[in-house]
Amino acid sequence: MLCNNRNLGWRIDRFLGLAIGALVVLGMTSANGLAQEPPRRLVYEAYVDDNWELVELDLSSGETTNLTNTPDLHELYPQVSPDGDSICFLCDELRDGQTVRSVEWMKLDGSQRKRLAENVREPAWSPDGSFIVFAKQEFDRFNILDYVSKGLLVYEVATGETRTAGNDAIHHIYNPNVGPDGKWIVTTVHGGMGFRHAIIGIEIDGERVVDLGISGCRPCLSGDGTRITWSSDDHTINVAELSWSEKGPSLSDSRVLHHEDSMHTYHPELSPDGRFVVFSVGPGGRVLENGPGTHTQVAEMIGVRGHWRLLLREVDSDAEPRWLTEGEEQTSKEADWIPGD
Amino acid sequence: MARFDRRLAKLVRAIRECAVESLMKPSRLGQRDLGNRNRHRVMKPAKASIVLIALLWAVVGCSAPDSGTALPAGDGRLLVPNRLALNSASGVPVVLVEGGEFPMGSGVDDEGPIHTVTVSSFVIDQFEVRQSELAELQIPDASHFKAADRPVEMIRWSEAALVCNARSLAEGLEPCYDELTFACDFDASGYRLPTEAEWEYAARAGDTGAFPPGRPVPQLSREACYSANANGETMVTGSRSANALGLHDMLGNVAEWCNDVYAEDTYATGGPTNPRGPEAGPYRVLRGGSWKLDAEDLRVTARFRDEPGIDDACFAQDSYGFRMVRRPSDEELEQLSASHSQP
Repeated sequence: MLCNNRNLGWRIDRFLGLAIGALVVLGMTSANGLAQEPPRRLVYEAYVDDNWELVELDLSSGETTNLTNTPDLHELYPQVSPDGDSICFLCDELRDGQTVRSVEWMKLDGSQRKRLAENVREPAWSPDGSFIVFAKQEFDRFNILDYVSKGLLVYEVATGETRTAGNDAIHHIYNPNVGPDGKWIVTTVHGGMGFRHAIIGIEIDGERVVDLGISGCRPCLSGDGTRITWSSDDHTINVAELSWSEKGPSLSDSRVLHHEDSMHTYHPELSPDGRFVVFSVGPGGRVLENGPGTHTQVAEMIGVRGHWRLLLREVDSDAEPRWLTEGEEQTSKEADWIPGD
Repeated sequence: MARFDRRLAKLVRAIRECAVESLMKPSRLGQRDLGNRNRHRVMKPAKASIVLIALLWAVVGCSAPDSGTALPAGDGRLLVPNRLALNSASGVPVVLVEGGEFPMGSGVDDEGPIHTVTVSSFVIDQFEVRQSELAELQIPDASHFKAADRPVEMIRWSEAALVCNARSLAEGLEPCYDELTFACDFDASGYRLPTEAEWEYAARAGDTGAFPPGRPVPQLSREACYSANANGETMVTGSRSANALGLHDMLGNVAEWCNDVYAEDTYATGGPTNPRGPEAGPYRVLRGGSWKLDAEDLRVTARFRDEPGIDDACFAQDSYGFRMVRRPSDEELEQLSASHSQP
């Protein structure tokens, strides 16, 4: 067996073998096409047998490792710590007929798993790894929509304590990223804080808000916070440069990194050094042969319908993009790089 | 004086006929998206005529019936359906509207051909769904113009369908929408979005004119929140006068999602009784115009469309909202019957 697959099941065994074989061939050709060598490892969400798991992919060998192996739980939204040693993520479980969404943490080998908070969503590490922010769910009852949040919580890694961020105006944000000084987040806001839909900078414990002046959603910052990528619409991934001052972030040199005419593109993730972006590509149409992917059987999750896969692009390069996963039998999306390789 | 009235009537008739002729010319009325001004292809050829009519009505409209007067293409009778104001189990004001027959459409572009449609009795929200209702249901509200009694906006079709289900469950009714496929079970007892036919029947409120051009401007200002009086935002629901069925904001404030998939030729291919639109298509219908639009788009026959937001990311419009309908219970129908059999 090619992959170090602890429990992804027979479908992974059978099809990933073929896929990885193809990847190795692809990798050999595309490695020549890429101007630089990409980071070696990443983690992504994989939807297999009506269940979301977190899977680690070694780009150089094509090996995959299921990090979670929990058929009764959905693990989503992996966020690797800056030192590459641990990971926090979302966990959806069914409790009394309702989905409960939590933020959990574990070592990257899957050990020491623990729950940090319930009824929260979308964690993000500070650049120095000292704290994790996550959005507080707006209502007790779970809702699949991504922007259903009100307030921001800050988990201090050293003490294990969670506090409420000082900025109490935070409302309807999703996909937060902590800025380089640890004082700001860059995030999407939808129908909240006076914005219809925008990507903004928010002072975590202050009151200042900066509109970055770009349309779209799901921003991601490079490790040093000087580059940003985001989905400017359902089919386009952009990148731009960010500079930081006491007044927060300001954006320049916005440019299109990738565009698909018919397929949808989401979840761009900059490599820590800002040289590469990995993102999800899949059909926008309604394809229902897979299950719903949520305990409460509601359909509002990108990637559940149809088969999504990960595409790698080099920033500021004409090099051909490189498929990292195949999509014939499973969905793979929402990747995060593992620093340190 | 009688002679002056006859001459004035003749003048009105001539201008109306001229306007109808102008309006019947091909236009870009079809295939309109409402939300983004850049994507909004508005009918323009008829604008001058409509303004002319509006001005004329502004002068002579004091004698016009308050429920909207039809143009000569129809007979212009005002036959307000029987109705009964109720409160839903969750306290939302609703109106039970007795079904009936009406001429649907205007005959222009995707509003034609004018055809007779019969709708069954239905219960419809008296107001556009308010932000307070979402809060009570613990449903997120992305509305831009925040206020408990303003209409919900920034809501996609698919989200509106889910809200219908949530209210159904809260009232102990059977949800209409399959939340995976978004197929609508019209036999379920719960709430759903209105069909285009139900919406137009409710908006006409008995106006049988085959080609209502919209309300005369003074009346439109009383009944609708639109670009001329909206001050760039939505208004509290019910700020404007109700139509003859007691329904507020059928025109203006927020454009209202209908259940129907949009098709340009729906009226040529749809059935005469309870038409429900095509089985599938990329767009859903919006009706009624909004606070962003001008008087020319505030017509009960005007059709708009946009993507339902089932698959795309979270883009939405601050001029899209909705109201719900459901099947009446047997008891409610008996109540309606009794209320109109009394002397």
